[in-house]
Amino acid sequence: MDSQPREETRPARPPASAVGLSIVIALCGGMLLVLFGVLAGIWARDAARLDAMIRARAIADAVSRADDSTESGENWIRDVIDSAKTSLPGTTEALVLEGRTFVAHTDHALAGTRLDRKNVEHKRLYDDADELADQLERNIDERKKYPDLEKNPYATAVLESDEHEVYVAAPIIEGKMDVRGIVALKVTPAPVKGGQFALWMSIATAAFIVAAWLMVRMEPRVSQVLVGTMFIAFAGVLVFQQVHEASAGLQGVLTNTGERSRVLWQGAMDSGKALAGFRTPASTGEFLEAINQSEHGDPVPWFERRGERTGASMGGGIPGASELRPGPALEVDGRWAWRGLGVVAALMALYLLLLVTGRTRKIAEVFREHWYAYAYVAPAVIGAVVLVFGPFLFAIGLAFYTRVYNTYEFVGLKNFIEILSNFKVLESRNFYRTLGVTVMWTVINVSLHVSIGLGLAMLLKDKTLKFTPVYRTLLIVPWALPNYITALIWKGMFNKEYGAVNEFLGLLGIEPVSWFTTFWGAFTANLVTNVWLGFPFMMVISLGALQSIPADLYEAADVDGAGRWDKFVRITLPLLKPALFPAIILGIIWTFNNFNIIYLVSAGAPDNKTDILITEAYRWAFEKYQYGYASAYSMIIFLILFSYTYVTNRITKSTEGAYE
Amino acid sequence: MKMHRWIWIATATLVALGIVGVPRLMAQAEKTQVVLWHAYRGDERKALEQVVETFNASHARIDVKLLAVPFDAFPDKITNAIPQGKGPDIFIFAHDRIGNWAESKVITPIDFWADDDVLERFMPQTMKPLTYRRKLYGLPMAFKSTVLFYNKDLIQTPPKTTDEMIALAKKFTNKETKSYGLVYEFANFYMHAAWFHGFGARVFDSDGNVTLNTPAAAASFQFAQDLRNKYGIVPQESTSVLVTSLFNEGKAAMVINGPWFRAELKEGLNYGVAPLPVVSATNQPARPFMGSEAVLMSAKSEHQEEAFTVMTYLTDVDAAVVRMNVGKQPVATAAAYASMTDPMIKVFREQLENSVPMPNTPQMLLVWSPVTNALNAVVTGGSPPARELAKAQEEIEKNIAAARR
Amino acid sequence: MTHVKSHEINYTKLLSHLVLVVVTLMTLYPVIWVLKMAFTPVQGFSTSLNPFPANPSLENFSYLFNDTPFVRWGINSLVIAAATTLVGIFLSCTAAYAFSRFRFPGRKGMLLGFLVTQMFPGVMMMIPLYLLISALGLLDSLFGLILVYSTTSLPFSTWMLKGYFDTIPQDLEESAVMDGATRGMIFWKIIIPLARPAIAVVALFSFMSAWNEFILAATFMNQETMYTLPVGLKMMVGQYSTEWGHFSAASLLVSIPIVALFFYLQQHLVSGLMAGGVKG
Repeated sequence: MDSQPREETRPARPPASAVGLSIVIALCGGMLLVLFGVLAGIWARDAARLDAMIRARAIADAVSRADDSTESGENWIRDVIDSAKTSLPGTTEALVLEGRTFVAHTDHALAGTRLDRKNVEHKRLYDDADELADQLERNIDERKKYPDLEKNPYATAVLESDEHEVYVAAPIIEGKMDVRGIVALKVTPAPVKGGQFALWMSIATAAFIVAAWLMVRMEPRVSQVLVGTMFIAFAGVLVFQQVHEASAGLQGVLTNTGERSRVLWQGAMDSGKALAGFRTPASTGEFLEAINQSEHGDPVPWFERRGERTGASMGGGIPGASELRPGPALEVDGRWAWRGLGVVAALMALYLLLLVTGRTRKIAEVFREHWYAYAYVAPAVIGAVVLVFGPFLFAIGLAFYTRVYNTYEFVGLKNFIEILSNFKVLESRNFYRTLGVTVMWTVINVSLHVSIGLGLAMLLKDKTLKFTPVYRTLLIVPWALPNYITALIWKGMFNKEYGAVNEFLGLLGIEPVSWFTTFWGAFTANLVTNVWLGFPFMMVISLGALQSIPADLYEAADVDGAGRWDKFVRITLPLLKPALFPAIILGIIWTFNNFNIIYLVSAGAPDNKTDILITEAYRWAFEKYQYGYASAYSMIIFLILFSYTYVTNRITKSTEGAYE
Repeated sequence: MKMHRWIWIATATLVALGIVGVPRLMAQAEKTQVVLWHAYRGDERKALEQVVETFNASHARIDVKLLAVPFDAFPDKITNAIPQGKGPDIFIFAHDRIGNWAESKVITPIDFWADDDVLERFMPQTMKPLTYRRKLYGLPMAFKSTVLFYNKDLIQTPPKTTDEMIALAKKFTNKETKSYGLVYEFANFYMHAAWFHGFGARVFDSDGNVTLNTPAAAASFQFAQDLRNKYGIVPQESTSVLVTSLFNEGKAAMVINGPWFRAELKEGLNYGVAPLPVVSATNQPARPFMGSEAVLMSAKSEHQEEAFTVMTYLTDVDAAVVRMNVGKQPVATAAAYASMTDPMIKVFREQLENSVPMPNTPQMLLVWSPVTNALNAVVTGGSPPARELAKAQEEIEKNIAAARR
Repeated sequence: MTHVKSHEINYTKLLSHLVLVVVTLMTLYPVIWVLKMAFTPVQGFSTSLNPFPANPSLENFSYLFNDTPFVRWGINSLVIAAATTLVGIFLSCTAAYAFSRFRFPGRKGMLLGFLVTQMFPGVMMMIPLYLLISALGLLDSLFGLILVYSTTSLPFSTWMLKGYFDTIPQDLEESAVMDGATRGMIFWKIIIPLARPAIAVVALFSFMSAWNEFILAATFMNQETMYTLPVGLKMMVGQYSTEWGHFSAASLLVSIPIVALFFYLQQHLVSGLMAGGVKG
């Protein structure tokens, strides 16, 4: 079919294995980069947060021991805060405030900042105190979920954090769980190693990609394998060494902070003893022990215990703290992790492209041969990729998550399994039942659309018939009117007492039917409405498609004395196929996903029995607020339609041309 | 062929104009712009526009910009736009989504600014629904609940009890002319809620557990079924548009509906409104769901202080009087009622005393669909109430557990 | 022309007319209700089966033109739908031609890919689309909507046109190549004119998909003057009530341009392959 002349001489092709190897190497490198990027990001953040938490905890614990109603107590608290700023490097801002209370409303307030409604700056402080108290309350409310917290009151919340600043707040607790105020701290974290790894890894990867391309003419397979093995070994050593170094560094930072905080705390205790009403602790450094305590009694346990924790984005050392913040579990850092991911994605795409086009063929060659074809399809394909596939992939991603209000939690295939493993097929809202209804809905609808549409088109294509333009135009009116109003009209026509349908049936002596109380009644109402709405489209398509049949074929058939039906079956139908098939395939897909009519006419009545898969998915998303579940539903819908299309395409070869 | 060319040229020019002429309004140099989204229509919209106009004329530093959004798109638009920082500073919506929006940090509490001077303006019933987890999220504009509408040509004194209502309705029910004594959307739980609460049932108990499967709830469902099947005083099926049509045509003597219904009635219709009757079986007044329509603050607003200034202005007495008298809104500002010109508003005000705020928790959103299914099955399908309610209760509990997971 | 006798022709034609009249009446019956609601100055509908308004009035229409920016919405819709149609036709014609005439690696994949885009429920795509359009800075602009609409109608248009191009005999092009025509010339001078029926279908489809879309337009646009007709229509629908009279009147007005467009396009829809071109 290619009318473009092929080039006679082709450049020597590189051996497949070399290309493959270089890609695999590049992929490995990219993966490692991403992996370490994610991990280092998490570690650095966690370390910084934990560091800040220890500081905040030390101050809060000290402050909670003073009776702040006296002036000396207030001054003492101020001193503690001032010394914290000097003795703990990196503490850029520290203050104590009475949470959620305004000056005007309090009998006594903690030293430090009091709130004033007119002061805009205070809004943020107020919000922080609020947020902290809220998080604590939640943990108390859902005690069963976080048993740790009951045992340990030393919870600290991270309010904001990025690589430049960590902002934490610790509650000042009185009695059991009474939040009296908060200590808010801003800390600039110490830099964490990790950057060099990316550099080394990038250099190594780049070097090996170059090497692999140079190996193109290196026939012996042994050398390729050797080079590949060396690369992987080098990467392994690099990762091991870097992880080790990073972990040691982070641990050092924490031990250091822990020690400084203890000194600060001890100093505060010593000076506080002179105050009236000061509650002296039973033992020294009790707060640090509490912080460090873990099930295994490890001194700085967070690092080792990581594997057992799920909330990777939070410091795990303080029992309960990792669950404290209901932030999104997706929130892993990693600006450069994402960058790495981008690299891998690009490489993967390249690799896939090579796979698709046949590994041995050079892309350039393919392009040289078919550039004009690609030029023709490029605008459409690029548009579709950006505006349709991008959002599409995003939506697919959601299927693996469960949504708890606004946070997403990764649940893997759980959503799918739950949907597919319910075999109570007679109950409404069951997946298989709904699928059955959907298939029936689609098949009946499309058959009626096509047969009515094609039938009318056959009548209307007759150029000798009068008034055809008028008929044609009047017949597309249902398609032109907004769905919302026609659905209402039809719903009204199916009303038991006032509807035109029952009125008409009454003329035939049929008792009024209560359409929306039985499955078949409601299904029929939906069906009639949708057939009415849908046939004009197929009629228009058929009219267009019928024009592709050359008139002389009919004339020839007339000469042969063929009958009307003969002509229809032998000429019309086979020749309609290429132009009509795409419309039918798409008609099936659209009807399968036809949300509006079901939703507006029967609204699933009775008891969601007339719902189809798409309305069910909608209900999960917008009535039950489980987007993950809804996404999983949509994914299943997609897979069903995809396999259907794939099979149809195999059978009908509609991607092939008619003149193959 | 020439004709064709002209059409192409004209279309192309039109397109080009449209693209280039995208109006990008430059923000006024000194004024802070506070964007307010609402879904008001008709008189309510006119009143709001009037209030905002007065505000803009009297405030040098703040400029309020209104945007009317179709109700159908409103929640979606809010949840998409605000997290992206493209949303409004404040918006007006009924309180029932506050819990969900607060949890997903779409809206922000206003306790910081709301001092007692502001809070004391409002009727306490309208304030409570705006509080979620001890924080206040908005200032109430108006409250909306259903009342009894009746055709004054047919009925002089509206019924005080449900027994009276049934007896009266029987009188005006005529199967031949397809006229009915009482018409309301009985298959819609929102409309049914008046009976539901009147029989003493509640959707949640004080600990937030679902309490649908109770004898009181079953009794209310039975009552709705009886209205249709035993007394035959309501139509066989009823949708919101049918309620409007029948009342307009004089084929419905009484209707249960909310303040918005007035805008749908044809001019010259002789009708009255009255508080809903007392449920004879329990001697308790029927208590409809009350929706407190509030102005809420976006969590992403960059001008929260100015936004709050606007919020207080919209809800102060002067603005409330305009909204009540021009917009025909039952407003939440207590002092406004001194300047009331519309006697019907008084009935809504009375009904407020006997109403139940729609729960604003995210869990409530999970209740609607199953309870509506149950109601349908009982009233139109003739199923026994207890069985359907048990089923609904089970399903809601399952969904709540799943949403918490 | 045919061997059928004349009285038989009359018989079949009469039957055709009979069928068409019955079908058209059945089709138009619900539409009459819309008309009735539009011309009745009440915001509900009538329970009587008489399909004519008791006291017709233009009140609903005058409300639209006097109390809403209906004309402005119409212009927005028209600009968007026209641009979508033009962009859509251009993109799908070129792509469909390549898919129909050339065999190149990735062809089947791309064709299936276009179909795939239709399979994922649209409701689920709104959040990601919003993020994308917002990131591109195209919120609140007609261009953003045009972009989205023309790509969403692409899959159908491309498939439809490809199917039609497949039926255009290859030998037409081959003889043109003999005469020294370039590929571009063949495409514009031979293929496009021959595919007029299919292009008419695609034009109508693209126009309508842009003309009727509601939720994206309502979500993307942040000024009332930027709203499109469907958004304007939905402004008449409240939480518990709908202004049905206004809505019906607006629905009628909204469907007029579509019917008019169809009336214009149908001459192309029934223009078959040019005589003589087929015989080769």
